[in-house]
Amino acid sequence: MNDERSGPQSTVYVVDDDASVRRGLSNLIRSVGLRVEVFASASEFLAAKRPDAPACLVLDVRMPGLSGLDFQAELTKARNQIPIIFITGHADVPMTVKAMKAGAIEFLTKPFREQDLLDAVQVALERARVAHQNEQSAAQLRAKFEALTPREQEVMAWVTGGLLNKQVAAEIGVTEITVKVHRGKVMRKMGAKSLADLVRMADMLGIRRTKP
Amino acid sequence: MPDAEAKPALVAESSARAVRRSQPLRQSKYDRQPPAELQLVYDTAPVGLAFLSTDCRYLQINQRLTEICGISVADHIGRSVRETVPQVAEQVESLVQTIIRTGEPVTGVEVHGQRADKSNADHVWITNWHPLKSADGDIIGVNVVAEDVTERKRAEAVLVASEKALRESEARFRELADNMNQFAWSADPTGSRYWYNKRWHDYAGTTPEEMHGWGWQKLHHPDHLERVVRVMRQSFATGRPWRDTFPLRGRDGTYRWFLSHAMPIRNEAGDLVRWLGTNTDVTAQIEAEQALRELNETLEQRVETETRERLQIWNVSEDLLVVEDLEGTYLSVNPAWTATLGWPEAELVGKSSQWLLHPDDREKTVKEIRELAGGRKTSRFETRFRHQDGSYRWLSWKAVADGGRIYATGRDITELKEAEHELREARRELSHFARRTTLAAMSAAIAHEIKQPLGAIVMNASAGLRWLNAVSPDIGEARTSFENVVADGHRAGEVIQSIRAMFETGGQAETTLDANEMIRETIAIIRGELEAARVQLQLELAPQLTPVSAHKGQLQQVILNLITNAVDAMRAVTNRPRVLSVRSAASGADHLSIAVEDSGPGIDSEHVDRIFDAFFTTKSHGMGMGLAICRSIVEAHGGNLTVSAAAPHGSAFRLVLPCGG
Repeated sequence: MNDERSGPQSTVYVVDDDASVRRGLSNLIRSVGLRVEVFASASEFLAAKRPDAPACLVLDVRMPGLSGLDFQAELTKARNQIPIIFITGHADVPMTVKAMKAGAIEFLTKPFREQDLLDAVQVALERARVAHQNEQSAAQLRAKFEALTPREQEVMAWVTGGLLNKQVAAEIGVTEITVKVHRGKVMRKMGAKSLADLVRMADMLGIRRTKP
Repeated sequence: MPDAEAKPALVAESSARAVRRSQPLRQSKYDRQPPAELQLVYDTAPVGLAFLSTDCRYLQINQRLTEICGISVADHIGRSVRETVPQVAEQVESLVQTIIRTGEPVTGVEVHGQRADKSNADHVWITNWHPLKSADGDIIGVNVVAEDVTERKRAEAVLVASEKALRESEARFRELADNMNQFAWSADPTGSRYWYNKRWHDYAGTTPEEMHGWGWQKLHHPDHLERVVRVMRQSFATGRPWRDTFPLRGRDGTYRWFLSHAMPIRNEAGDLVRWLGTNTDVTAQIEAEQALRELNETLEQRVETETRERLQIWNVSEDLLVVEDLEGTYLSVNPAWTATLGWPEAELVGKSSQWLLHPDDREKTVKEIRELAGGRKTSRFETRFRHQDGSYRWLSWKAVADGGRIYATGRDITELKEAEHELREARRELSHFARRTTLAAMSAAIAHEIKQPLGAIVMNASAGLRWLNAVSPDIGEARTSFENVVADGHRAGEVIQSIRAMFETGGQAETTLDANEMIRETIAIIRGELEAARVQLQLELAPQLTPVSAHKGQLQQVILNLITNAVDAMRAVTNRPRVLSVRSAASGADHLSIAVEDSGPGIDSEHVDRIFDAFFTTKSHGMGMGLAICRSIVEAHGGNLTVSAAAPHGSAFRLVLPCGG
């Protein structure tokens, strides 16, 4: 599974208090060409400096100090959306449900088949990558939108809200011609291929304005 | 007409001439001879009569008039008034002259004079003067009629004075009647009232007209009127004093209470002439009495209610209530006795409880009663009483002695006792269950400990294969992977080894062993470690302990574990001696105890409850299994393992085992 498409910056973080388990997990994940970092506890993980890159977390449920489930809750509270794969010595159903409800990718009970873990890691990283990309494109989109003049932003909001040019003109007190000019600039600056494309962007930005 | 006894007299000088009654008035200018019968009337008339000449000389005078002046009839004749009665002469002469002048009679003239003996004050006469005219109309004389009215005048004066006194008396009476605090009234002998004092009207706002007769009835309260009238009429009918108390309505419409009296007033002859009545406002007293009566009634009622309630408690109580004397003889028992024990009351009273008590409870009951009599209270004193059906009931007693009596309450706790017994059984079962649960938890823990290295083995082996199967195999990584497999394999083996050590003698049968011997052997195994950790050992073993039936190896594991824990706990101690104390002792007839104490920091109170739980550990490298397994082993031997704080430092583990069985 030496899939290099994911790029070298993708990282699998392992948090487990048992050294031999840590060593085994690290070895296994590295053997499929993924980058691994191991930690003996949740606090060690939190203390580490992590790059802005797609990543997932392999977490032991039973650990001294902060338990795996508590740690998950902490991360959710901190709006950290890192995908999590739980591993445990003995899982009960409520524990599993709780973890999955909180957004875990997988809940593996030891002894698990190593392939199951690796598959879960791939799923988690894929999700992380998409999220990462979305985040980045959203950031780019916002940057483009913020580069527009206030008048252009206004025109974009009304136009994507479904108003005709002359309605927009009446709304903001300019001529229809002026609206057309602004609209052309908006399309260009935002890199929109069509009005539908611009509407999608406005949706992502959450700026569409409609008449009440 | 003046009365016969009056003997007034005109004061007169002794007469020079006497006139004989029987003789005609010779000196008279007008010598007329009256008829003899008329002369008799003249002489015996009860009024004074005289006939005066125009120059005021007596021409005639009767006996009556001479009596009042003390000079004889004969001596008067021809003499002047000035000679005989000089003190009235002026008045007489003036009257005569007036008559001569006017020719008219003068009547009703009062003439004042003195009696001849001057013994009394003024006498008064009413006199009438009539002229006597001749045929040709000349006045020839004046006829005088004098009536002595002195006594009448005096009587009149007395009457006036007495009337005045009466008026004053009446005024005083009214003043008194109107200003006294009571109402007063008068009624005629029939009871019809004709007078009320001012107070009455002030209070009732009535007028005398309204109240006259029987008008007072309208002021009475309808609830009382009939009786008041009846009683009053009875009094009036019999003439006996009347007395009653009733409310009367005031002008403001409210009623006040009055104590009322009426006395019959009789004249000297004993006839009832009127009634005099009074009404005295006694509202305050009545209300006070009422309040007192109500208070008394309330009090009585309360006492009655309380008595009834208390009796009720005695009767309905499900607890056995008994009053005994200080020797424990029953004086009275409540119905709960019969309900609970079946015996009728008559069987119980008059005897002590000895005949009813379970033989084992008799002596302690006697002792308890003695102590009760000595002033101590009894609480939760439990004894068995025999039911009429032969079974025994457990009773829990509370009792106190007071005033030579013992008051005791007994509650039937038979069912409670049975429940307690059941609870004990349930606990025993529960502890058996808990032990099984502990063992289950233990196997889970063991499984976990083995799964860890097994999982790592699988992962490393898998990774090793991947390194080798790669397009360009990485031999170095593969080797590392397999080295990890070997290490993890060894670790799994160690885990199994350590668990086996715990249950070393797993299949071995129980043997009878000497606990002290077992302790000594165990310490011999660990003595090296004690010395290395610089721990002083204090061994206090009780001699001649009853042998224990046990798995020797398992018990050794327990002792070893406790000692190892103690040594670990004392590693942190640097400022005081590290002392390990191991003691054995008999505990009751059929148990022995082994205590392992350290002088370490002790167990945090928050951990005490969990210290025997599987997976619980305060050690950085512990499995948290040691004490859980120790307890399981001890309980499997029918004993128990507990922990407490040791003094002044550290923890004390105490192991109690049955022995001799």
